[in-house]
Amino acid sequence: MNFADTISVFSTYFLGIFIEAVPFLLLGTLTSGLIEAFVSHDDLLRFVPRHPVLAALFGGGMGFVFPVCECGVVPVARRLYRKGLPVPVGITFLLASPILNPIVIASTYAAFHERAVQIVYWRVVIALVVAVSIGILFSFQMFPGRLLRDPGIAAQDYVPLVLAPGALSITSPLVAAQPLAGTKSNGDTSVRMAFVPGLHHALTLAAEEFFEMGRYLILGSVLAASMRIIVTQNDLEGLATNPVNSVLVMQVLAFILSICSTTDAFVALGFANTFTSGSILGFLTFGPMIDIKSTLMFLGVFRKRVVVYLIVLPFLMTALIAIWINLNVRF
Amino acid sequence: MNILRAWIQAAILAATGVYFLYLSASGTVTHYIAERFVWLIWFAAGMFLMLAVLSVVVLLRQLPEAAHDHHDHTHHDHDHHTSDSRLSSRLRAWAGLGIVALPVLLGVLVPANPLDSRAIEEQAASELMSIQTSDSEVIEDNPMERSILDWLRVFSLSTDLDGFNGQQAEVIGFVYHDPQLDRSNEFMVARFIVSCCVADAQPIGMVVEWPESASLREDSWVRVRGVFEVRQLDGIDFPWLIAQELTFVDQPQNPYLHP
Repeated sequence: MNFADTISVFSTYFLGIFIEAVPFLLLGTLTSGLIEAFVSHDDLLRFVPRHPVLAALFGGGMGFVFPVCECGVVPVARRLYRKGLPVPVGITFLLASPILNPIVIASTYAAFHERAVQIVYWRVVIALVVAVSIGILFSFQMFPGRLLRDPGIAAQDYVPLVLAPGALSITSPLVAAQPLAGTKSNGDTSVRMAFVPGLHHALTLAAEEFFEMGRYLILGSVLAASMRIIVTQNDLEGLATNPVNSVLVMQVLAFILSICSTTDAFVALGFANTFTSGSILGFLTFGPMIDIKSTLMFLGVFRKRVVVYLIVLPFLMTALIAIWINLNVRF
Repeated sequence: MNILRAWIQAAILAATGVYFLYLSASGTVTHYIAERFVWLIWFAAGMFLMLAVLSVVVLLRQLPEAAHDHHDHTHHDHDHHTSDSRLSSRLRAWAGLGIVALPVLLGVLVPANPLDSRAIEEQAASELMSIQTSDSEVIEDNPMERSILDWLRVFSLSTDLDGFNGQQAEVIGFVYHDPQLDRSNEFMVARFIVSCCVADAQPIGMVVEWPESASLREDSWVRVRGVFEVRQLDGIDFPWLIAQELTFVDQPQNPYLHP
């Protein structure tokens, strides 16, 4: 291809990925704005369990309250952090909710007619296991505020889970302490606003946040479109039936394609007959948790090192489970 | 926040909104995403325009007090930076604006082209003809109404391809000259199938025998009418379409097929 052709094809891929994803980002920023305006700090903390494992499970189920895909979940999580959501719970929420939400479950069920029940079951179970484990893992961090790129996002200083080395404190709360004086909490994180000014405020924030998160989405779409041109699917298909390689290939493909989790089941269907079941599940669970787009959006919320963990840990865990399924489960 | 930057933000929101409106109203949006998700784009267009109007209203209200450094609680940048990092954060903010303007710029400056033969990655012709199906998919009953996708599904479900010898068919697609074929009298009539957006586009096609295929320009849209005849390619039996009639047609409003 010459240069002009490459630009033309690139532009089509790029706009396709962006146009498909941006309505979900807008929904996410809108939800985030509404949370800021109408959910108070206390509202949120009243519901978060204190026990770290229960808290992580709670984070895993939050997708049913905020049904957003992986583009929308990042602004929502960031907003919840400002409202005092414990960082590990937010991490579980980020990883799990693009899968554990009614829209995605319904579309997965619709795509896989015959094996729908098994695929949905395993998709949900893998996502929950991986997301909750990683959430619990991060709750061992002494100062969860340090995980965030801008600790000011989380307006609080956290009480760590581990108070002394070796002493896992169950009663020590994940609940955040009150805002420290001088940190940027304009007092409005604990207030519920009246309807009209609240709506106005929510929309203003949504616009603001669109510019903050939108650039990560766009850079991600640029990368994904370039990868779509550079890596051909032919390169990958030779590895379709090996129980280990197929999983790795499908997870890498999910990362590269960066397809929205609400629709990826339809895409996975195209591979379902050539590729192993485990690898399809790897595609359906790793992809929504982490892909090029969401990696870039995570960089807007977390420290770089944390983002690396957030890629590597889910990749390895889903791969292990998917390979285990390939070797032990028949359906 | 910098007032100029705020105005540019409003302009980007408005421009993106108008672009999305144009995409959905003109139908061009089906060059990029599957038809069943078009309502999402209407929603996005509405959101963009609403946010743009809101930003402008806020800016107009602020005009009289613009001289003051208005404290804005939606502003997430650090306010307590040194002047040095303040400059770099300002630079970053401008770069960020440029990035967010990219979709609308590319959309306007690069002519909208659906995927065509340039996006077919040197696949073997036999691969374009194979497709995964599950048996509960709907296939058009009337043979003359079947698309390329319908036919490939019918073939993949069939146990006796020879039964298709002599079967009449009429399909629409774009011309793709596969390097494996004899260009003088063979070409492929191809389509992309798209489930969600072009990121998952996959080319499919069938081989057509047509004496004047050498003169067919790549990517021109054609309607081919003919009968099937099972031939071999790469050692695989496949029905080829022996063309009796070939007409040039306009590119369909929706260039892709949806599985």
